Amino acid sequence: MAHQKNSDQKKFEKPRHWVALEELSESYWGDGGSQEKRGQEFLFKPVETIANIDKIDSKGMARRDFLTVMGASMAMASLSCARRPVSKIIPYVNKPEEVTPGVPNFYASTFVDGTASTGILVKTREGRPIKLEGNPDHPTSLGALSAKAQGSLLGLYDPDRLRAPQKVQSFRTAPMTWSEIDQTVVSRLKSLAVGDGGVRFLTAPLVSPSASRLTQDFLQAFKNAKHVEWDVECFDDLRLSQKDNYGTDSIPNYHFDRADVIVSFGANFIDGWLSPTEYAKAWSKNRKVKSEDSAQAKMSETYVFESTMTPTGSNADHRYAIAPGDELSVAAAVAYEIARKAGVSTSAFSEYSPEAVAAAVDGFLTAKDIKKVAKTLWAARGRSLVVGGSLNASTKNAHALQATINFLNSTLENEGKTVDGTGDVFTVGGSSEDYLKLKKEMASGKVDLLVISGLNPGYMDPTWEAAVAKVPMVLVVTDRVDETAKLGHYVLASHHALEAWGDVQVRKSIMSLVQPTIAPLGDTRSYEDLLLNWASKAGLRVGTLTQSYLSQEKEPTTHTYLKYFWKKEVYPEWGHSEGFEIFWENTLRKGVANRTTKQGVRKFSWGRTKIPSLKKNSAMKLALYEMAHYGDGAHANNAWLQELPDPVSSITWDNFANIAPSTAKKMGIRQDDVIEVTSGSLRMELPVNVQPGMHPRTISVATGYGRFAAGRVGNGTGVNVYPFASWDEEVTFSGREIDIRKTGRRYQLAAVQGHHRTEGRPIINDITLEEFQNNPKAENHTDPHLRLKTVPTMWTQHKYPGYRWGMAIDLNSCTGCGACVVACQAENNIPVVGRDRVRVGREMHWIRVDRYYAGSEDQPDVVYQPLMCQHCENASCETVCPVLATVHGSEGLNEQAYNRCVGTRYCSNNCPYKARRFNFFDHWKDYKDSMNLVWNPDVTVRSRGIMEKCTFCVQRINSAKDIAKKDGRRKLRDGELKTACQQTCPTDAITFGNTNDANSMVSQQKKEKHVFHSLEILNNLPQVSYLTKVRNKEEGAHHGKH
Amino acid sequence: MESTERFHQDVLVTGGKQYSDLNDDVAKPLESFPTKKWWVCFITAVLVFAFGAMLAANMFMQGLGVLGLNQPTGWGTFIVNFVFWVGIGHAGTLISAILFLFRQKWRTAINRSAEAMTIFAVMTALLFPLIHTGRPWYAAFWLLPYPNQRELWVNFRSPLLWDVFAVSTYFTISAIFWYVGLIPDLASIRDRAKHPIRKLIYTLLSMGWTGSNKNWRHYEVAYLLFAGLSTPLVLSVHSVVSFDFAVSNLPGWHTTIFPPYFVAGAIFSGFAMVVTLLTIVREVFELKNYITIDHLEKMNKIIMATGMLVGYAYACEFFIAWYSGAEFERFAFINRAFGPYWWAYWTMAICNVIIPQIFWWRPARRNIAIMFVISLFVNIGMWFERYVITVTSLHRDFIPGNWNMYIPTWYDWGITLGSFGWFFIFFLLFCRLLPALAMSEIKGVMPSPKGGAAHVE
Repeated sequence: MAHQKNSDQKKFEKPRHWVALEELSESYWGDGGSQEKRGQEFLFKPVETIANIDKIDSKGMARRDFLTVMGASMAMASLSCARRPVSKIIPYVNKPEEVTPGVPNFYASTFVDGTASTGILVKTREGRPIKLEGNPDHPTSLGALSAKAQGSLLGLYDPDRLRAPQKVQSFRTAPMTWSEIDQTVVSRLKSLAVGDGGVRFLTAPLVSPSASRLTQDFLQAFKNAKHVEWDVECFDDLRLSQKDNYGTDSIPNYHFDRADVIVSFGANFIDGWLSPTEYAKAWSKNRKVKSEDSAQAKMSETYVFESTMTPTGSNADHRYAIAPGDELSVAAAVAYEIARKAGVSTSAFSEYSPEAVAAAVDGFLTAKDIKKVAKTLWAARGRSLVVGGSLNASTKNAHALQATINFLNSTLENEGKTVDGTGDVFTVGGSSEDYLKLKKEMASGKVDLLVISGLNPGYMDPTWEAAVAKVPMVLVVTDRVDETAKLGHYVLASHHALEAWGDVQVRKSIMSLVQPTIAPLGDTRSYEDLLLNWASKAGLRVGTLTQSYLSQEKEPTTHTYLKYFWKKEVYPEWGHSEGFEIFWENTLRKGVANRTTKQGVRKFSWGRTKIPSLKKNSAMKLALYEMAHYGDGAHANNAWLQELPDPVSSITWDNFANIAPSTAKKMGIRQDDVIEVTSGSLRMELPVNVQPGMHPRTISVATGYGRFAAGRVGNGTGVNVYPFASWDEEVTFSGREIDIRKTGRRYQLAAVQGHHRTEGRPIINDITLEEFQNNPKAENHTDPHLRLKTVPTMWTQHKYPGYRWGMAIDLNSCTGCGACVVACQAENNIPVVGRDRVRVGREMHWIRVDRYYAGSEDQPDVVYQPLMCQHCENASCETVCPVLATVHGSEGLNEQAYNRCVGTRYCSNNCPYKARRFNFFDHWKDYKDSMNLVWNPDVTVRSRGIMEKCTFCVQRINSAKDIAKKDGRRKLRDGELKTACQQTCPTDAITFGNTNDANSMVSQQKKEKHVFHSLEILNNLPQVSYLTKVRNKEEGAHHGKH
Repeated sequence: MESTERFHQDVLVTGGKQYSDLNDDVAKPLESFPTKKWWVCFITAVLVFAFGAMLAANMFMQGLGVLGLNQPTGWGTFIVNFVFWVGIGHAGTLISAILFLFRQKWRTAINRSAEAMTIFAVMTALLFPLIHTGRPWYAAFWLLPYPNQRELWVNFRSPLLWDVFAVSTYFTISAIFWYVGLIPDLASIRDRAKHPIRKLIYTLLSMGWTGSNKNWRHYEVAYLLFAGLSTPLVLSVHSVVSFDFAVSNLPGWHTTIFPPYFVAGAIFSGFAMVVTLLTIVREVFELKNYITIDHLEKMNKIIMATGMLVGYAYACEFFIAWYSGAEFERFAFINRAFGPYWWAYWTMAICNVIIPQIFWWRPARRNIAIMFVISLFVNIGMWFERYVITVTSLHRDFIPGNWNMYIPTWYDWGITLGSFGWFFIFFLLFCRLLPALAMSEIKGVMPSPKGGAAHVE
């Protein structure tokens, strides 16, 4: 102390680290008495003490200093050994009125994803969103939600999201404050507003009318300004051909539920095309058959011609593998036949006779097949539907293909019936032509300010870097430092959709709201925030609506702007004179406002379209496609979506080259071989997935992988294939001629399913419609040896006086999309295990979708089977657990007591379905930082060493019972309770309920004659029943030969 | 009668050894400083065990994911090792109990070390069911039916629980039986001991044995009783272990032949291990006159006989798989022999069925080098038998969508190796600290100094 005092007397030095202001004054450090008064544990802080020691000359350490240091180091050492941090549960001091701990609140909002935007209900607990569900009031959702939308919840808690805006300097970023950025941008905007410098906005097609108007208004302040909307999948070929053939500049809406015959040329309408959740539901309506009156059973018939195996193709009754670009040839051949039948001129496609086309496409397609398609279509005039186009059909022929499809729909009198081109059409724009123009302008230095939002051209477009280098100021509105942001100047950290206000109009008849369900996790701003802020600060002379808003609002926010916009623009058209506030509140509560539109009939003309002449091609071609759940790579950092297996290949975490088995055999290529794909100077290496049902001259690869600035999860997964798209005169993605070569190296793809046939086992059942009509009973279509006979039992059966839960899954509706898997993952806190652990077979999904092929490997039939714990009546797992950790519940559930489980894994060995999942590691520890907010507090997070499995969402059962009890009801109503998988299923394939109630939906389903149980012969008596898959095709079904 | 007569006259101890020679020979390793050979063996065993223990410790820290286990293969090398070591633990009790009841005098030379081996093998086996669980810190006591306030009980329907009882009973009875047999010999060692501490230890261990007539009478009755108690256990333990598999519904496991098949296999592997160990022990400790070629030949005959029993079981399984018409069963066996693990299956079949056939040839039965190599092959073959049963049945079960390969990691192999270290630590200590031959019993089958019959006759 004496030493300390002496040094104090010498000169006061401000401490390097300080806690409170007074520490900076000399008096604070003065006498020992005041130090003691402060009640500090140490008279001197360890940091300062160490600093003092450093100052001591080499003579040695004073005794007191030695003791101080020793004490401090012991204290620090013991701190680091603390066993667990103490965490306290603190109740609300002032409880928000609407929040009751333990009771979830639901908010209606919208999942924003271009044309696939759909209504959601956000389940929040104590102020944080924990689950997304489809909004039953929203017409494109009707309660269902896609896998991608389910997964977007995890994106909210992505720890790699920006917490503050950044400045980019030579590919490195440094945080900035908003005021600094505002200053820079505002001064630039001011100077641009007076001059004629080029201001360009590049955004994904804006589905928000308010943001769209704001952008227009904002750009009015500049003389040379333009807003370019574009995305890789913006369906501009579809929109432009409508303009060309009908004069209507919008994407029509399609009614799959009204069509008896559906023909798709590459369009993955069940899982990825336009509004897939809605279309899958509509399509499935005509797929459900009832065994009662089975002789009259009817189903729609689906034909798909595609260059890669998509969920749509694998669910079609007839699917033909073709090379990319040949969509046009086949469509034209069908059109040729239809035109002849209709007595219309075939001159537009005179070369495309079925015979010529069948010869030219040299696949598994014959002229007879084409004629049959035409015949079936013609017979179903007015009740048929032809669609086409997706990334995998986006070739040089894309416009001609769309025109041919338009011709077909018009000639088949579908216009105005199954095709709605005038009423409820899509309102989104997007043009690759505009995008290419913008790039030219950028390259020639005509753009002075570029704002990019919701788009990542720096990743997709290999020519972007050169073009953007010429732009003096590039502002990137994004939630992370992505590839585009790295090539820009300022990264404007943006909200996640669940943190933001907004609105969405996908189609003419639907207007929905986006509302924040949590305060922004970082210091971020929305796109609208930015524009409003800049317009106000720079005093720009923006368009009238925004101008009038800004004149009355001193501190503009997206929320008030949105409300203003809705009051001025939306309410007059959509309201029912109930007063704006009521309209607003109602829409906010319901999530959506609707209005009716009128569907008219348009007249077809070829317009400027010319059908190119038929070419026979013999080169290997590349088709790019989007995996529906993964998309264009925007969700690459989402571990749920990375680990969701591709429905068709069952592969996770990577993209790969799909190659036909015959080609693979010819070239000596096996699964997991690495091949080199070259085209001119382009070159890439990809692992191979030998995919049944590929055209022998086609390699297909999914886009969206190979990102290097996606985040810790998404970086380094797969290979970026966008460079193989065409980016020069027109943007097309497929049809590039390529060469492939074996490299001799191997790369193990992380597939969750290693074996693809059923080996004739009684796991699934599929029959043709004709067989179903003749005799729907499931047992008539399986091997009699594998059917369960009546078995005597020596045990008393379980008794269920109250509820008895059961499930029925309609394999005829299930499309394999995987939405249930992600929904289950979110609901039940299922961890992500990562690529390496999937490789060794340790994925944790409680529900999985098994995919089986039947028939030939060139043209296989596909069956998807969602499989979870079957909650067997005679459960194999229950008898073998030595500690009774898995027991039979009083309501028929097979229950797993995590706390009791010691992890012998005997239950899993004895489970014939292998529906159980073992925690080999503490997987939850892989959830970093903010990701831990995503856990559902109703479900235990499991530690390592224990077994887990599907619980039939027991937490939902209990909360539904609680609600019923509160309402004074003794029994739950049928349908009141839905499991997470059932709730999200776009095709309503899953039914769950009380099987003690003979009238419940699930009991009705279980009474169907075509019900079967997986592995029935084992007498496990599963409580999950499956409805036989029925195919609308003529050939004998393939049972026994899978 | 004549052959019986001849059998009685079998020379079980060679080299003209007297009672005193026997005591000297057996006690020698106990009374001298360990040789260099012993130290090399012992340190190797400790290091091997330490390596396995280190890996196991790391496994406890991280989780079972470091092993090759996956979905659907929930059991792997640990269960294989468990069954393997329990199987090894069958020979000792069989030799000392069943052969005792059948009055097979030649057992006297080998029963002590075989029993010791049994106990150490069961101790080794018991490690595995514990460490293979996900949460061994709970499994260690939750598997026991102890009274508790939560009124939690074990599941008496689970074969794993039967295992707990069967193996722990077997271990207890074998250990007591072994110890009872040791008492007269411990007293001999005590009487020879010069160092007071040494004397004290052996005095305590020999429980006041005086060699009086009364002592001997009690001893003989107790020994007979324990032999009677142990005999059914020899048959029951591995039957119960086989229930782990047989009671499940997995094709390839779910077969009624398992209990006798497992017991035969256990005796087979146990005898092979005894031969492996004794060929070394008689060499290292110079006990060739007590453990003679005749002894070893008799064991080789049993190896051949049980090997053929096992071979019959293999064939029978295939026959029933075909004859039953059960699809899954049929597939499981075709997959076993011709699936991706064909090499494991054929390793098993060749080592267990083909190779022991060499013992039809008398010179091979009496050749130390040949029998040593064959016994090693049998040990390997029997390890693979368990591997084949456990892994090939699991890796391709009912639903093809689940199928996967099981590839053990170096944690699997390291911990397996460590278990051998653990076993040999005990065995080597046994050789140093306790009489490796049952002196009192051998004296009973030696010609008495006066040329008369032994006192037990």
